[in-house]
Amino acid sequence: MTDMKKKQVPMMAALFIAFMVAWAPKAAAMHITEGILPASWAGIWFLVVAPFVFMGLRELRIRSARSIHFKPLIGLTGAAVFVISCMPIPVPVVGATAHPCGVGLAAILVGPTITALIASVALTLQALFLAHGGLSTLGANTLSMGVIGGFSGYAVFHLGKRLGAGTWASAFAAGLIANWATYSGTALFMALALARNGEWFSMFLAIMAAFAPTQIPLGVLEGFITAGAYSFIMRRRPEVADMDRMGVAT
Amino acid sequence: MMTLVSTMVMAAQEKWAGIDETIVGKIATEAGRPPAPGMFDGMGDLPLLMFLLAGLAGGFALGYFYRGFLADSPHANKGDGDVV
Repeated sequence: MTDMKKKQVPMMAALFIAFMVAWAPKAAAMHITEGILPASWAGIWFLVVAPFVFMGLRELRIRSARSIHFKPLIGLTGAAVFVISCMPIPVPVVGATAHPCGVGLAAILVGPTITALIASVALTLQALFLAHGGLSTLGANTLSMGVIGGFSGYAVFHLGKRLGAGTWASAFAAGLIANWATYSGTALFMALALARNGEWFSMFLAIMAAFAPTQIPLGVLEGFITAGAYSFIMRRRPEVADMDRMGVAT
Repeated sequence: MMTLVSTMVMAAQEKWAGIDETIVGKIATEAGRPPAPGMFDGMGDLPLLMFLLAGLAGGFALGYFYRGFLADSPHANKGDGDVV
């Protein structure tokens, strides 16, 4: 690619984004939709998730300086999370569609705090351009998908490895648990915000029960996707395993 | 339980509707906080165009970074080994 073309790509991307931001009037639909959370709860979740996103930014800067391969890995992971988390997959038993999250894979590849950052970017783009989620609910959605999903997937993967499970099995568990944890977070945030007379726990259980028919099979599917993708990447770039939080890769 | 049952019924009525609408939207509406209207409501095929563009952008980014990160790896031809 020539220097001229290299300069044009970010300019075109910036123009496209500026046009879409100026054009988009409202955002709604996937995850917790625009307008569902009261302003107080929406604000609380923004405050809770902000430190994780800032930690992700800090870690991204540090690790990018250490490894020339880290930015392409972030690009690959970010694109995967964006695509996977807006992909409605039909669940035949229920007759409805639901989406995987991709954060389990991201967390075991780049770590949980950078996963929170990646999720915030992916969810912002989806809210602005695809009517998925919402801008006012961005904090809650980033917290459930990027933080709760990402950290739980990361923890399960390393727990599995520590207990002697193979890479494939640990990655499968990471994808599965990250998916279920994400939806558990969504159910919790909705129950806390919407329950009347303090009956948030019964509402939480009801929402979890409603999610179960789609998310149980979809979580298993996400486990297979995560294990397959992680195993493939490990074969091609085994040094990714060393690119952990404090890792230094060449 | 009423919420759960009504959600299941709604899911059964609208084939392949997303659970974000049939569960999240339904429960929120029953709790008095209905979702705000979608930005593409009543805008015809515009959602299709947006998803097409998102797919193109996402696919391009995946391919671009795949090439940058994996295709140039010295292990690029090790495609069929097992990782344990």
